[in-house]
Amino acid sequence: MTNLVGLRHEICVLCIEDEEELRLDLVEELEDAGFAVTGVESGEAALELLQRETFSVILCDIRLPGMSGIDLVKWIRQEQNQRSHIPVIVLSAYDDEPLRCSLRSNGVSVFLVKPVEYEAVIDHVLALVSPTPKLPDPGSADCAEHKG
Amino acid sequence: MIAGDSTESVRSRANVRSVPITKWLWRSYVRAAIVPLLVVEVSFLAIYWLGSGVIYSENVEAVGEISTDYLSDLSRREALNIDSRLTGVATLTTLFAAETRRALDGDQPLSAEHRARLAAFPEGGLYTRSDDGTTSGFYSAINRIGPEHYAKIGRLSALDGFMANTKNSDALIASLYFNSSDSYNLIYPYIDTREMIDAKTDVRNYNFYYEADAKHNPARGTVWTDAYIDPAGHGWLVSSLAPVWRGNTLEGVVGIDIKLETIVKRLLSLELPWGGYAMLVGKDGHIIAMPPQAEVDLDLKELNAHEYNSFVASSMFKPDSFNIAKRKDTLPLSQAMQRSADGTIDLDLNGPRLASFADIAGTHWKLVIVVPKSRVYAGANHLNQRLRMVGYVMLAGLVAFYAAFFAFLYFQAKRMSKLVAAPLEDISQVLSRIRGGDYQQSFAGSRVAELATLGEHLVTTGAELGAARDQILKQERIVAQALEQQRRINADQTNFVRVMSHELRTPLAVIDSAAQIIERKAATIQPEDLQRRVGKMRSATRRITAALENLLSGTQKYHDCGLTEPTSPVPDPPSEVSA
Repeated sequence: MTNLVGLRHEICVLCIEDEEELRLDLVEELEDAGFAVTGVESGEAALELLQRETFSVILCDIRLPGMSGIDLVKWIRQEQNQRSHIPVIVLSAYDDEPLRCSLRSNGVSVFLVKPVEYEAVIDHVLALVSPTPKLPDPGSADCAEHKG
Repeated sequence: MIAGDSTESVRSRANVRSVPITKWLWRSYVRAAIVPLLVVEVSFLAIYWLGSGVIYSENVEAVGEISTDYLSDLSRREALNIDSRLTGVATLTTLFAAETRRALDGDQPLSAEHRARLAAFPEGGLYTRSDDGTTSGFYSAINRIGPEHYAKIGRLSALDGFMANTKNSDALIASLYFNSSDSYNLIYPYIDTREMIDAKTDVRNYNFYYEADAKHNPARGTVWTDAYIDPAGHGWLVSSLAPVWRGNTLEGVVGIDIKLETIVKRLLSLELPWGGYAMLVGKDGHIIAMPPQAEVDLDLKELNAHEYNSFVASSMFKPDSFNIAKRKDTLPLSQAMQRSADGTIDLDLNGPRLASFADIAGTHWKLVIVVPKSRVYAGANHLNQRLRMVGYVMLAGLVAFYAAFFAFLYFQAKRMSKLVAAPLEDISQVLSRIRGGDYQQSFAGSRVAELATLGEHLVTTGAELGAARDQILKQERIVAQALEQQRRINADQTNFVRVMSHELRTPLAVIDSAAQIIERKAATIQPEDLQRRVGKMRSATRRITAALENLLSGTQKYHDCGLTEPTSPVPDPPSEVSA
């Protein structure tokens, strides 16, 4: 992870959060951590952005206006291109077992329950984009809580 | 059927072969009514048949004994009658002999008229050449006719009146004659001796003479000949003979002829039972006379008439076929006759015959009465046939009765089985419908009280089962509703908690985010930035406060309303999240 310190600006992170204060704080913290961060408030906006740009990691809320976070993840995983393998970290104020199982089955890499520790988020982003990322197996996704 | 297709099946659990009610009732009837009745009836019928057989055999035996006795008695009686009749003839013969002796002892001269009627044969001898209503004479040419011969003719002419009177006194008599030891024949009625008798005939060679001579008739009584052909042209005859003795000199033999046809007519005139007939058998076994019925039985033709194509030079008797001792079919009769004077035996003469014989004392002939056994036992056979017919009628009646009785019992069994099976079928269907969930049933009733009670109890039980089931279903619905309500409450509570978690965590996240940034930038943070972030924190704090107030308010409403769904304080979570 230390090796990536100099390369963080090459790590492009897409943040999708409808709660503006949180989206702004998240973008600020990640940018302060050195990542190239883009924040959008809805799934539709994220889809449009994903058509044009390439991201290393996606941070996504569940409850969004319009397309939900899970629908967005499904759309990404169904793509037959490079995007379908983008690591996704879900941040949500919901926390229950059905939700975890749903996220796991849709290939969500990390599920973090709000409020989150930004350092933990940064660590997960770095872990996911490292050459040997400790990614959970989508089929047997670790439903363990990754709280910051 | 009560049990449907399975009624004939073997029920493994009970290991008992079930049968339909009709068959069961039918077997009960058969066991209880038909079999005993049949046994009794068949026993009675067997007793009747056995009794009939015994009656028939006893009847046959009795009829046999009676008929045998009757035939024996009849044959003896008729033999006695015949004997009496022939005895009369024999008595006349004896009288005739005495008259002849007296005539010979007399001195009756030969009248001129009588002498004029005499003519001589060319060979010698004399004969009467014309019929004047009296006797005719014949002197054999074996004699040299002299005065003494004319004198004898004259003395014997004294018999003319006696002979005519005797002949006319008895229709049985065909003729009377006297044959002298020197072959003079005096006979009444007249015959043309010239035509009938050879001139040199020696009458001593004929049976009607020698059977009465000293050698054959030492007792000098009256004897009877067997049937023979009369040389004088009267055909087949039997003769009653009596010798005419003068001292120790046999002067000749007198005889009275009886034609066989006359005897046959007499035999035919006998009133014999059972279509029987009578015949006379001589001492030597020759049948003297027999009626046409006997001819059929013996396959013989009676010898009544005779064609005189030539002189009868010697005695001619019936052939051996007329001798019962020389016939196979009549040999038992001959043997029986040798054993006893009278008796009855069975013969096979053109069929089974019963023959009864009796001795005719004066002649030692036998009177044989023959009757067909079928006629003897006709009454018994008729009775037996009647008994058999009655038996057959009884049997037919029994069969008809049992056919009708069987039919009646069969239909009775069917009717009874319907009486039982129909309500049982109803009960079975009621049970089946109850088993299918249709508890409100009705029962049409039954004339069998137990079945009626069973059906009513079944209907009542079905109704009670239905009511119990309805109650259970009602309870189940209540429980299910309660469970569903509880599940919804639980879901609502879970959802409420989740939503509340979200609604609290989001502003908490805002507060925590601001706090983390303030903490990280505490040394360098600008007052304006700090103020903005604190403002965000306070705004988020108000959201939490509002959410808590909504939570308290909703909880209060929830408890106030009991099971009513609580009012959601915040919007619903995403579908998959809330799902």
